[in-house]
Amino acid sequence: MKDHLLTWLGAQRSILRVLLPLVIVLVIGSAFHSNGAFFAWETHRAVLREVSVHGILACGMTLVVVAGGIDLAVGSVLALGAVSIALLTMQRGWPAPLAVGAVLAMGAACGATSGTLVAFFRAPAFVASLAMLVFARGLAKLCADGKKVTTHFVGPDGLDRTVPLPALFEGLDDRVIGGQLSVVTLVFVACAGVTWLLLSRMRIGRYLYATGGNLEAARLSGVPVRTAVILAFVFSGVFSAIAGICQAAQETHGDPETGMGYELDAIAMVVLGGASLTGGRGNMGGTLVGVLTVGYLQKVLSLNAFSLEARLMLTGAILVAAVLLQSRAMRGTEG
Amino acid sequence: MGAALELRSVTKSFVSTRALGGVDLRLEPGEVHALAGVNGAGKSTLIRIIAGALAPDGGEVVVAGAPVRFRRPSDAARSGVAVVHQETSLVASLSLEDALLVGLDRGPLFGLLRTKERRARARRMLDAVQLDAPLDTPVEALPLAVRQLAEIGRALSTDPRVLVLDEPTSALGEADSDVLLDRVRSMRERGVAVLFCSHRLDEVYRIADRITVLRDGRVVAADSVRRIGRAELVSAMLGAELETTPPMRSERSSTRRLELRDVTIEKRGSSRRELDRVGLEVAAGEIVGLAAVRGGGSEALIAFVAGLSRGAGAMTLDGEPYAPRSATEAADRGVLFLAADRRHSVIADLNVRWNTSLSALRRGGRGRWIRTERERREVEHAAKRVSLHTGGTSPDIERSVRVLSGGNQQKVAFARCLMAEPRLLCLHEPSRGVDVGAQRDIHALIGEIARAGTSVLVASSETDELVSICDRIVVLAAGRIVGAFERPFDREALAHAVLQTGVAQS
Repeated sequence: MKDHLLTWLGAQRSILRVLLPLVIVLVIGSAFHSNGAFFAWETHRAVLREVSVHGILACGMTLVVVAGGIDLAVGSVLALGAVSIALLTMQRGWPAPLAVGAVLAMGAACGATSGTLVAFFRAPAFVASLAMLVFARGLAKLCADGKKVTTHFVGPDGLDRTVPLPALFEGLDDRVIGGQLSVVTLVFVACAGVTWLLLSRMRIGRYLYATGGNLEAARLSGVPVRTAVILAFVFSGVFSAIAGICQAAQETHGDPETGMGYELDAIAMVVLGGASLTGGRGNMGGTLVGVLTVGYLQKVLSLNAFSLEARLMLTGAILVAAVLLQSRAMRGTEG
Repeated sequence: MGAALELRSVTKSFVSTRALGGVDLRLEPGEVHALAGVNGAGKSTLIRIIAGALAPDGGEVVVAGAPVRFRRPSDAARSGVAVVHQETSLVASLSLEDALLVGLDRGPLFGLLRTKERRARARRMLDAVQLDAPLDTPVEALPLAVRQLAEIGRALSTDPRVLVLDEPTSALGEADSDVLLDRVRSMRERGVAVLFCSHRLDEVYRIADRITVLRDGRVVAADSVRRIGRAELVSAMLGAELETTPPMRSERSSTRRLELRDVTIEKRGSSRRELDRVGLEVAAGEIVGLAAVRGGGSEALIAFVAGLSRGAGAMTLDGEPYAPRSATEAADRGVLFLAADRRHSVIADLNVRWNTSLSALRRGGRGRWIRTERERREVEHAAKRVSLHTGGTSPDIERSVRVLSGGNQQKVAFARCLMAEPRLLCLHEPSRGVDVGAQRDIHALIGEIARAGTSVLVASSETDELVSICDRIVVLAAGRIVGAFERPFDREALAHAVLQTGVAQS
């Protein structure tokens, strides 16, 4: 019996390692609860709402990292998505389904470009997606003419106009289930569900793990490695565009400067979730834990009135500690 | 005059095998001493011991009369033993000068480099082999022969007593080999003792003064080259067991599975061809062996069939045109490839189940979704067929492949192929680096796969392996088919065909 328990625990070791940082953050939060604010339901609801956009990016990042790549362009594509959805629905008056479709297609095109550069032109993922980061940010600024895209704008006839906030924006920033859950959080959960299906239940998932685990062996085994890599980036682009739409809804405008540095948050979440940046390891469950870990960390720090500067520095330090813990765990399973 | 290097009853064992069982070797100053033996005879182990990369279990290594105990390669270098390995070790991205001087710059970390001195030093290295090569050109842009010679020059710059050349000409064409052999002669005149290992017996006869033949880790012949004939040498390398093999296992099917016509692959940046108008037919359920020395074309041939390289010529598979542009397209047509290097045949990060089902995921009847229960059942079945051992009583398919032994990793790769139910299996060195027991299992498995109707192409550098599993053996040299043998195999004729065609043909 005891043996069974030990083997079971041994098998779950990697899961425990992923959970440990989250548990530590929660324990710290409970200790420094700021007069009980940490225990209020509103706090947790706020954490979920605040991590949702980052979480959506982390879903796509999980797919790319499992396939052995990295997508630095997610924050920029998010901004491009936010600007485009605002432009199309507010200023061009497109119907919401058409506008959403166009923005998702734009995200897919960004991802396909990075993916093709990596798969066919053998550009390192770091370089290809860095180029896309710069390009998409520039395009977002160009489309928005360097300003925030709002409901208040100058029409083609040169007259000032103000349109009501499109229903899509209101709907996405709404709350459901008696006002307890933000719609954006539901979008995040749906993206996580799709990612989980892709990775754990579908053939493409096996191809992503195989490609990231050992490109050459996967290729020789008949795995369509190029298709797998491109698809991972395409999904990452689409998820970034979705995140952009959500971001625009939360901010009620399309800001070409939004999403700066989000790629690093998304990478941190994925790595905290147990993925290996050399590819072949990682899963959606782990990323979910990583998303919550980062979200709660931010919340605990802000509840305890750390300044933004101090929060940034602490986040960096804590992330390094968590990643070191992960890599030691990795060596443990190999040795 | 004392010997430059002497080995006295040196022994070395690895976990399951004895690589060297008491080897004596004596290298005199100013002689070229050939070391011969088939793969697995113990040559590489011997060279690694001389180079200080391996410590012997027993016996003595004596350099210029003094017993030595090398702990690392630099110890050997200090004692005047220089080794040039088969694969060139110059850093490809550096300029030739920088590559030659890697590790030789001395002085403070932030001291300035003495450019003139470095250049002169690199120049001296090239002069030692009478090579005039541009020192500023990156190594990767230089022809193989130049790299090989430059490396020998670097080895000579330490003014060694003993120079070990491990297959120095295996990657070279005939003209380049001639230049290299010429340089080796001049080293002999300078009193260097050269240990020369080559699969090309012609070269051995052209350059060597004496020869030592290894078989199964023992010296079976050691004499002046003039006193040992070619036939005698081959039979010494192969051993007395030249018995003919049992007749063919079964009636050969008359269904033609694969046909190649005039397949030609040009070699980039060279006038030689990797494959030169190769024609071949393989019947359903037939096991065809491809024998060749390194670079002879057997690897190129199976890579071409498996869709890994492009070339001219036509192929048909079960009567239909077959021109795969990738391993994926080949796999979709039922042609699977198993790489010699285990790092390329299994994915260590993943578990047995995922590895085993990988190639079968695209087979008909399976959609985009993974049906775990069916997958588990099929993987377990395949694991049993290859008699996979993962430690427990029955195979644990959730185990990580990383923790399995080399033989069991290879069995996982075979299970992957089996589960995909291929029409044709292309195997490259199917039992390289596995122990004897696993090798026997794998050989039995290949026979079983063929009996079930799958055709098998095997490229192997071990003639013994081909003889024991194949229905037919085709010998390639310089990209051409130069011989074909049917069961029962005449081992001696086969060995002659493989070894003596090792010299590039004009």
